Amino acid sequence: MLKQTSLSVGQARIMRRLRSKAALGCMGLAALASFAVPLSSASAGETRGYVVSWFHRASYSQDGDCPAGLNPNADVMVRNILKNIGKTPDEVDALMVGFPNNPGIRPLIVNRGRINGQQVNIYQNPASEPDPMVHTVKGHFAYGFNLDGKVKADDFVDPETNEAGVDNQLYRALGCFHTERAMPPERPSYPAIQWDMTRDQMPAWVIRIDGVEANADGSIKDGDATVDIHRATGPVIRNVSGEPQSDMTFNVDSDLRSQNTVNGKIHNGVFTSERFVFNMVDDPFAVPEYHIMDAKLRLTIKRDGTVTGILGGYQPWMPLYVSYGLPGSTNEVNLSVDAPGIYYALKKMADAYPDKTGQNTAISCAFVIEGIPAFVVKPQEPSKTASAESAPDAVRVH
Amino acid sequence: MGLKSALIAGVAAVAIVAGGVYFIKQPKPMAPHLDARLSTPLGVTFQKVKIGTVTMVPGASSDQQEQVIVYADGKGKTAYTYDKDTPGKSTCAAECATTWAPLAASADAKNVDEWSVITRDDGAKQWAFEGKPLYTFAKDKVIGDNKGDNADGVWHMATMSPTDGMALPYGIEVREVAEAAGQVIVNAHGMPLYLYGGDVKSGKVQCASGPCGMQWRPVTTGQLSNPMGDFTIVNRDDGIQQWAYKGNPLFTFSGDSDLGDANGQGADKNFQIAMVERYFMPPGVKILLNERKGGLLANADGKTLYARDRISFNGTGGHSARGGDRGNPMVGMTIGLSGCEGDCTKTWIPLIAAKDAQPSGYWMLMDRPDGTKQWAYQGYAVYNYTGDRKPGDTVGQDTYTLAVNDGAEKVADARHGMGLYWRTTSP
Repeated sequence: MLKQTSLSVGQARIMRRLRSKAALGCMGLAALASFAVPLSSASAGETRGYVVSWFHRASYSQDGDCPAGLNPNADVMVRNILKNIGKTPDEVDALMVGFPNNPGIRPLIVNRGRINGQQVNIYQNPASEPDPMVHTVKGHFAYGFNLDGKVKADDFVDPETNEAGVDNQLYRALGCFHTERAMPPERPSYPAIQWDMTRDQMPAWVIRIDGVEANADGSIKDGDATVDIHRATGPVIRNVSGEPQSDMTFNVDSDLRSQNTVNGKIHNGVFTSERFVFNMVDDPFAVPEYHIMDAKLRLTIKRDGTVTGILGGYQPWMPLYVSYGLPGSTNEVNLSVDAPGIYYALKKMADAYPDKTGQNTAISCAFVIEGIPAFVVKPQEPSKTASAESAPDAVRVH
Repeated sequence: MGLKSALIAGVAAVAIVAGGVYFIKQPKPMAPHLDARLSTPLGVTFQKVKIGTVTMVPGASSDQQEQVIVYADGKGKTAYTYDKDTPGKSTCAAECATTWAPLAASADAKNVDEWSVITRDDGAKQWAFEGKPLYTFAKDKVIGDNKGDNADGVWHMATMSPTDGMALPYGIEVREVAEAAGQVIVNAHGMPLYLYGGDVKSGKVQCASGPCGMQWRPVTTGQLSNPMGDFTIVNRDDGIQQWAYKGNPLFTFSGDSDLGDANGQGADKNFQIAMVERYFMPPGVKILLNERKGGLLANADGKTLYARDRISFNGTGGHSARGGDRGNPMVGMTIGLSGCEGDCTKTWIPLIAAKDAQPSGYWMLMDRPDGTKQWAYQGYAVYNYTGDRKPGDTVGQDTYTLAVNDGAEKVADARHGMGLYWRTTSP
């Protein structure tokens, strides 16, 4: 691919000839400009590269947004579980001694499901206990987009853009668990754990923005732009503070399930995309795979060289449940989350893409996405005419 | 002799001398490492077993146990030796042999290297390693069990020890190098060493593929090092003292950066990895390098081999990082062939073994419903993916099927946990 910010081999040869004739000057620049081939509607500006430094569920927790109260901490929740499976108060007290490290509790929690009178693993069979009716968010604000084009009474308002009719049922389902709550710039604790623990080994995600034009004062001109989001072949590198290191180089993985390209417009330094489908392979510790439909992306291109924004759309809810069910009792007793409760909440609040039974398979959602400067190198097929001299399509943010 | 004749004679003489020098200096291409002895004969496998107490490991994110490689039977059950046996003779019979089952050898099994076939009193054939008959323990149920270790103080796990009888200089070890599929001589950093087929006395090396550049670096000795065993010292003209193994100077390869790398294999015909033991590989199976995943197992056509693994809670993530997640052999054996049955096998093609194939090394066999046998690597049945078009493709990697029971009538298959996914197999 040829970008205006780089030279093709042909252009490079011409440049060498021009230099040798001491006639570079304006003529050379004019010749160079004439050879630049725009590849998209957004190629008028430069290309900037980033590595994603943070991506997870967007929380905007406010006092009073859970009028029924927050969901209980693990000790209360586990007492309820033990009571519901028939333990007497004395037995519950005995079992809770040393909680959460009493080994006798775990098998009871794990196998609390009942099917035809038989004990079953609750995480594999979350519908094998009645809906525990976890508390959900009733607040006014949540990050996201108006995905269905309607403004309904219980829709949210985005606190950043003030857009009404915001659809973010994922936050509604999860937002009353302690570990999902945060007011930016704070990060909700469990998503922070998921992202942080997988970051060292999970292949990094990278972003390229084509079509960025800066004014003399550093502000970004309005105009068309294209954003690519890919998975890289290697993980992020941490700096001495434990945060991702900027200005590192990443090769784009050619796996077709992690290629995303979307056009949009930049206005006041914020890129807003058209609708697209966001596909990304993640780590099973978090969410095995994202497949966000009808997605929208807004990214603020900041003067410090970073980007931050919101990705929203409809994500199949079952993989989201799996991210809670997989750690099972470890999450329940340590993070105070009720796995089958989350299963029921996601299933009830799913709001798009119904299956043949009418059950919605996807849930509206919003994720925070942040990026820091990086070199992003995309795989390039060798050119027949210039394979030996072709440089990778590297992009450097400045 | 005229001037012209003298000139011709002189040129000829120079050519002869130069040619002689050329032929003297040319290193001999190194033979493939296939001449390294096989770690196990057919019918004997090995497995990694955790031993010892949990310890703090510097640099590790959590406590870990030491792992050793132990020999095992064809199903992966740990093998043991018995102190009361005498070389080549089993003394465990009758009731003892019901608790400690002799590790059976096939009727046509033959002695090879340290492995010998002994005939028991009842006429049955049994494998012995270094003269010690091998057994499995009845209370070991799954791969990795080692309940019989140190039983009665006389039963011991049969641990792979490729350095037995081998003198090793300080700073040189032998360890498993995954991408070489074998036990390899390594430096103090765990990086594999390579044998050079030529003479380095002059301080120069010649690569068959062109200028060597800086990619091959001599393994230097300490100033006070002495030759030992098969390790000798080359005093080079440039002042460097370089280790040699069995007469071949030793080098590291600059392209090896991670533990387990063996990227110098095949990089130049004049160099060969210093392998002590090689692991069994089924016919045609090879290791291909992949920029994302490191070494990957592939079939004879170069198509990537996959395993279907259970999505598991891994607190450090990393299943899709370079080198990948090798899974847990016990989980692989539990899943067996249930991970891909019926129509699944039209998309994911089982790696079928020959009728007379036998397990060995990390490779075992699983019986298919149609009577054929399928290769399994480190406990996991392996397949090719029809979506991979060319050698090196890994299109099937990270393909998930969630296995949550979304209703209250049927119990989810416990073998599949919360779901299964396809992963490439790393050596």
